[in-house]
Amino acid sequence: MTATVVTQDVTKRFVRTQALAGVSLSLSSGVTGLLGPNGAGKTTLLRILATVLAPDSGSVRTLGLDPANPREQTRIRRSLGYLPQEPGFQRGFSVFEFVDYVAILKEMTHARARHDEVRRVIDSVDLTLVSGKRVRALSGGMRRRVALAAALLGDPSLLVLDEPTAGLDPEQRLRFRELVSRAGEGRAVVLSTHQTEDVAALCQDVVVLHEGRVRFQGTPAQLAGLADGRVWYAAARGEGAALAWRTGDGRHRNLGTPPVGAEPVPPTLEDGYLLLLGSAAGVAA
Amino acid sequence: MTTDVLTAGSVTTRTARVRLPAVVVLGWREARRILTSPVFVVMALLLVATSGIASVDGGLAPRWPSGESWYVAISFFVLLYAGLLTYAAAHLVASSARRTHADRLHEATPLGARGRSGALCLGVLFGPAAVALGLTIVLAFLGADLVIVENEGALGGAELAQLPLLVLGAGLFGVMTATWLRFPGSLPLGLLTLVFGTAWLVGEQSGSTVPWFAPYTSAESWLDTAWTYAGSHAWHAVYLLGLCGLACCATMLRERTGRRRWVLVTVVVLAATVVAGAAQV
Repeated sequence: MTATVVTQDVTKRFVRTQALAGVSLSLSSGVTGLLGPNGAGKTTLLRILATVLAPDSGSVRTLGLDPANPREQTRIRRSLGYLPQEPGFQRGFSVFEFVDYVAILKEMTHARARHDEVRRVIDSVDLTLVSGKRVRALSGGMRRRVALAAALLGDPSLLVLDEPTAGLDPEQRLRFRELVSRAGEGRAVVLSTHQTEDVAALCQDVVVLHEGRVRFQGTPAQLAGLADGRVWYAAARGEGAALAWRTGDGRHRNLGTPPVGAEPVPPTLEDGYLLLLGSAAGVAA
Repeated sequence: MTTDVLTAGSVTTRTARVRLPAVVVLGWREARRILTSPVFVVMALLLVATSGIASVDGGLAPRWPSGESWYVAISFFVLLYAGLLTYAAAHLVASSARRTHADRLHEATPLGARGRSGALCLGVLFGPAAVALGLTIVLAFLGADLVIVENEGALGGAELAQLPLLVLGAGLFGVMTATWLRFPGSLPLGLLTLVFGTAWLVGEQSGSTVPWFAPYTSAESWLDTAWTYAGSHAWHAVYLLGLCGLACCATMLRERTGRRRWVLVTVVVLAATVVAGAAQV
């Protein structure tokens, strides 16, 4: 499968903070989840992939093109949909007007064709009924869908979504999950999130970033597999547990090195992620 | 936009799409945004107010609405308010993406920051400057056979030509200020600079050639104390056009990529403005 995005030793520093410290990745079509704690460098990496930021060093190839070259950067942007972490909306714009405005920025100059495309993407995110409403009058979840509609304009080959489900209630998250999985058919989608459930439900691949470095790249099953044999239940916090918490039924779920006689249970993606980051931080036993 | 094309040989009509550059399409959109800015609601109210004041002050109230009263009202309105309100509206529109963080989404679109700045400049041209041009044409028709009550006479052709340039320049100055000064308070800062700078050049320096370098109209018959030195109103119009060009160039120079080309354009426009400035006095 041809890689949609390839990065090689990408670094980025903001004054005293090393946001990315040599990130090498290869992303293909399908949905790729980017996991990592706050400050791991997820947003910086996505902004670089979205051609908004330039790396300090290293190389990036997006859709076979070099974003450092202005002409090729424009060509990448023609095939790119980007949903920033906290998208803003100009005052006074209705849903239709906002998406139409972004469509012009995406060089859709023929009015009738552009309006058809705007109606199509608004419909694809189920906002047709509110397309005449002011964006600022909508709920947070609806606004995210407006921004997603703008990102979907022109059927881009690459979608870059920065924490698309942050701040959404469970129902909105499920709706958004459905939209992203639909959007991921036949194109590459890179999404960053703190929600391991979203990654488990949506992504074919997962990348874990920590302190600006890639700690893991593989499938969600492989990430969960890192915790194979290292999750067990006990009446109390187990010896050798790097992490443990009391569950609703009163038992303790332990992650770490199980004691003799403990019965390991199947791990989740979250278990693998926690253990990976625990060991990256030198916490796990 | 579609156009009919006749092919040679057989007289067949087919339809071909003519693509307008995205920056022009966005320019029309920005023009609409500037003209529908709440600032222009204030402008409409001021137009009504100045119409009344001008009618009373000019002794035109008994003859309202007459061509003469309209002439006084429109010309006072454009000279006093249109530029400042256009400045404010253009600044608000130009800075809205930054203020609302919508620019985060715009940054990754192919039009680019310079394209968006260019569209804003076109928006001022297609919107308020075009409306001001329309008002100027109305003034030219009204003034053709009028004897203005209080003033020496109707504005001349070269003076009238300066009115849309005044509005265009103010709007472009608003876009430039919003593009370069990306902090809260840049709107009043630019407004005060514009008002007091112009007032200082025109008022305090009257009796010298300095007022001619003000970014304001040289409407001799209306502001006669400032323009005691003889000069060319036509060259002052060209000078104002040069200032408009410089404001546009300064806006386009904000982006680093491709800056060299714009530096060259700026040098040419600056030279032309200096020549026009020297030629006017």
